[in-house]
Amino acid sequence: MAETRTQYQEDLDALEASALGGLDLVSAALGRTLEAVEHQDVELAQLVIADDDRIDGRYLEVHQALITLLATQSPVATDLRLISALLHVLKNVERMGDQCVNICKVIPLTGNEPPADEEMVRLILAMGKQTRTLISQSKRAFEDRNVEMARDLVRQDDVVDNLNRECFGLALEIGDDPDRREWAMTMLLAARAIERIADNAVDIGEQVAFVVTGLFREFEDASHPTV
Amino acid sequence: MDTKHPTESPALTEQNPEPQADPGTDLGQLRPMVSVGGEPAAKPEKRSREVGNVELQGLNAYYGSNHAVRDVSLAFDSARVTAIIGPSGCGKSTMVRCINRMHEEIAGARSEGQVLLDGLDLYDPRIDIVAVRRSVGMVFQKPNPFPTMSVIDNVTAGLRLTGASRGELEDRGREALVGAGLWDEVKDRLKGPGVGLSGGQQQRLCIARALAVNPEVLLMDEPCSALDPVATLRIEELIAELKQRVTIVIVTHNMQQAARVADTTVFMLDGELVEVGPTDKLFTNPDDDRTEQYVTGKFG
Repeated sequence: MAETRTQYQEDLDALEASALGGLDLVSAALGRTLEAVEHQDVELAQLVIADDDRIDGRYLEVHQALITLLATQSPVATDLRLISALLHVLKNVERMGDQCVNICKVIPLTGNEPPADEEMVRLILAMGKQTRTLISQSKRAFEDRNVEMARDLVRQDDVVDNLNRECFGLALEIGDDPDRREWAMTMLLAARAIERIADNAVDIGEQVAFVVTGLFREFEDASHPTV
Repeated sequence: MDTKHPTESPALTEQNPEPQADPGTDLGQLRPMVSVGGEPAAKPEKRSREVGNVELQGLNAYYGSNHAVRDVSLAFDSARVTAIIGPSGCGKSTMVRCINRMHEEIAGARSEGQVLLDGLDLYDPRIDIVAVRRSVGMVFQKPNPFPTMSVIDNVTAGLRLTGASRGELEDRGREALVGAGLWDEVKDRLKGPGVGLSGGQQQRLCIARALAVNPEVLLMDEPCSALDPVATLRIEELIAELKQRVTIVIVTHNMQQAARVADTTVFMLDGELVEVGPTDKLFTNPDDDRTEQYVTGKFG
């Protein structure tokens, strides 16, 4: 039998690359966000906020192209599962970008020389670094259709969750100084946003499993945890 | 004609001339139209959902030396729509034409294996072939109303052969036209020529003609391929309504049509049955890689 629909296949491949490329944009945005947190760099934070338009643009562009493909090519089977998964991935990418913006928006609130706690900053940077690992791992798992690698994201995410809990503990013990407490609360918001980005990476891993197996199952059910 | 057909069914041997029903099964009720010896059985008062189950057992079909259908075993459940998909020449039409014994009408064609309608072997030598075709109606790719007949005569053409009375002809003709969703469009032109209708109407006229003799199974071989999208949707809606009354087997090249109308989809390739499954499963997560390749259009 002759191979057919090569143009369609190329289009679908290109859209997958473009959607997953959104994860590179997010990873770069998170890297700059962490730098802005570390150095209290308000200008860099503004840049991340402005640059989020690129991530949103990627979302709109690929989303529209996928809808067009659905309308014109009537994809089924693996192609259909792939397109469904890519629509989810895009949504996750867009949310991850927004979380970076959320962090960057609170940086100016802490003032020019905030009463920063070094240990807490260290924890947040560690969370961010680990989350960037999750982002690149989710991308690779998707590209390789590697369910095992996708499932491993849960283990990687546990590291982020534990760091987040440590942050919370530090904030509780930060002392009575109102400025320090305000700073710590702001940093907790940042930690929470990073923790959510890591969760989005796990969600992408679940989509990998869906593409491969045709079954959607949450890797971990937050409302029914298996403790 | 070279129809070779083994009749090894244990239910139909010389020692056991009448097919045996399961205990508690009313044979007459199950086989209203076809009976051994060619005598039509009494028409049932009401159609049971249990009527119209078709089963193929080890079906092989040939055109001379060309082995077109290869050892297919498959069941078509009553009150369900089954779509057969597959590339041109995969044997899907041939397989369907074996169900109402149309295949053997082609010179050099023959088949082996069993085709059972509610347990009765349609290839039993004592079966009346006319009764088979009455029980298993067929609609073809191109609408083919009798060119010299009026709308109503087209519908009742088959019935007239059964010696039905004039009143009965009118009632059943009307009933069939209503059933085929055509009545409102043609009630004022029943005496007009059948070929004067639009393509979509002509196809529904052919469906009405098939329905008029109260079949248990309706075979549709690419019924919409000559129709425009609106006429196609009318036929698809009709299929959804009719499945309550008849077992429908539809051969289609249009995979979206199979996805829309069928409860079960069958994929064939090179005369073989590759995969059978619920339509949604076959179109979202097929088991066989060849099915995947075909439905996604990777070959064809």
